[in-house]
Amino acid sequence: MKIYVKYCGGCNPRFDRKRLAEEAAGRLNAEILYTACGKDDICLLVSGCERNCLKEPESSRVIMINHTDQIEAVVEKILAMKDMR
Amino acid sequence: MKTSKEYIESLKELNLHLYLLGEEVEDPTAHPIIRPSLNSVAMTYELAQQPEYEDLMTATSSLTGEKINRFTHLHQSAEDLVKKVKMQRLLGQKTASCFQRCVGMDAANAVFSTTYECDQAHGTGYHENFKEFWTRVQREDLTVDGAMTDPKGDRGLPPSQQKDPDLYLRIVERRPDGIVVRGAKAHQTGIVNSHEVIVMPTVAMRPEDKDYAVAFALPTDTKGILMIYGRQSCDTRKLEKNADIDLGNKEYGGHEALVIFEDVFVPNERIFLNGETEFAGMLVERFASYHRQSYGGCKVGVGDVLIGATALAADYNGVPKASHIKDKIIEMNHLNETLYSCGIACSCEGCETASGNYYVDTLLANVCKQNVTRLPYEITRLAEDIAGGLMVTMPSQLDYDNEKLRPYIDKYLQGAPGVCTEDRMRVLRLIENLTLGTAAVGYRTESMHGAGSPQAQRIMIGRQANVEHKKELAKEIAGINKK
Repeated sequence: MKIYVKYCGGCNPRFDRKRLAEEAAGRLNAEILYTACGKDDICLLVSGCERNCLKEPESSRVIMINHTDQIEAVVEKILAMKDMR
Repeated sequence: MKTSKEYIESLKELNLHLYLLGEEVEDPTAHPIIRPSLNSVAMTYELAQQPEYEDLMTATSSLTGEKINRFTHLHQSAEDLVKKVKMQRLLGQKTASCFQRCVGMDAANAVFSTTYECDQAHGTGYHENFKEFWTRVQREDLTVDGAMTDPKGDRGLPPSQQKDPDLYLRIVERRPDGIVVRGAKAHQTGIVNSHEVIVMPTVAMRPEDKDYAVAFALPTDTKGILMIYGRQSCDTRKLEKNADIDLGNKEYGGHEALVIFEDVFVPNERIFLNGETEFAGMLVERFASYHRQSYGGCKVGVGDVLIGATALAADYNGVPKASHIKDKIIEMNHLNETLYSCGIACSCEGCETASGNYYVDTLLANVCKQNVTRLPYEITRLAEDIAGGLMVTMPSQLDYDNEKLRPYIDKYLQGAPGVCTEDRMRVLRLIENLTLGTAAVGYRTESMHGAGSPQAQRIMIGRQANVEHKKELAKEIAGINKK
């Protein structure tokens, strides 16, 4: 599985954004890609705080995460999206 | 975009005419006093390559449509202005020093809009000159110094009335193919780490100051440009054997230099202002406002590190739970975020110029910088309060490396259980570095005078505060108009 990851700029993050994305991908045995995603790709937007300043890409399968507590839910959402495909 | 390695290699190709501590420097990139400042600029290249910082560190060029480093961007929206401040906070956090690249970005945005309006008024071709120059800067991902401050001599006299006419940089010869300039620019942040320099006037001009109303860009190794590196508190610690702990911040730093222009030729295509005195003031005001916005980002990032160091010192001293310590750290955060609020506010209220790039709200940018002239001093006072006197009295690293002395230092300078003495020394040296060492140049005195001394902001605030409107508000509420 491939996950397209987009990070916020990281001006004042509350957690290690990269580590969180890698942990989520690791649990899914997924490959992280940093290139622009297509409309059917799974895109994980990682924001370092609740401001969620990232603009959503065109993909219809976008998941946002801004807190380490959300990792379980995010993994489940990605799995559900994968099954829906 | 360049990688940090490519950036450093590109600097090695420059043939700068530079002196430091009385001696000519052959390779600035290898000099131990200069290198930390180079590392800070290199971080602006490094972070732009990392996906987790790309959203702040890069932008899409309005000139070419290509992906560029945000430090070379011409702001296209209020959102761009906000991202600029956030990027500066990020760089302050990563380097705990001045990373030097803001001044060129601020100069570029000011020159871009001013040349456009000057061309509209005078039919000159400066805007196209600048666009051509800046397109190259973006494509080659160059670092550019913005040179504004003249030595100024007698501050009570305008440029053309000075006893020595060179105390403001001026045109000494006009030729068919360009101009020849003479003078100097003081406090030039990052010039030794820059590929190019944009020179601008430093004050508003009168018609008789025509030869001083000049703006242009040149490579920093142009014939006739001489740099004398600025001394910093504790700078020669970097020359000591195995220097590490005593530096506080071994990897990063900032620098300034006095730059002399000794009859330097500027070709026509690099000229952005040449005698149009009424646009000197506009250029100064725009650059100053962008740069006053900048301080609401960079100083905040450095402040983040100082707050972190102070909290660590409290931990290492065994007093993290003392109520007055906790309250002082809250106050440091409050002051730091106040500065950030000002930086963000003047960005959100930014508007489009006639040339199409975006400009900050000047009243709020000046309020931002006015606060920067004060609050970092209170933040450093609180840091020194919590750190304790040891930050300026403890033995040197050379003592700590001495086998006979080290056990005594470990025994008598120990703090909270489980904290190694060396870590305690390191964090105290970092606080020393930021509050009165090499980094204090950037965090304290530059906060006072950089982008204009406090009175300059008060003049701008006085002009823009719209007091007449406030009087009308008061009259309405007080019923004065209803009599």
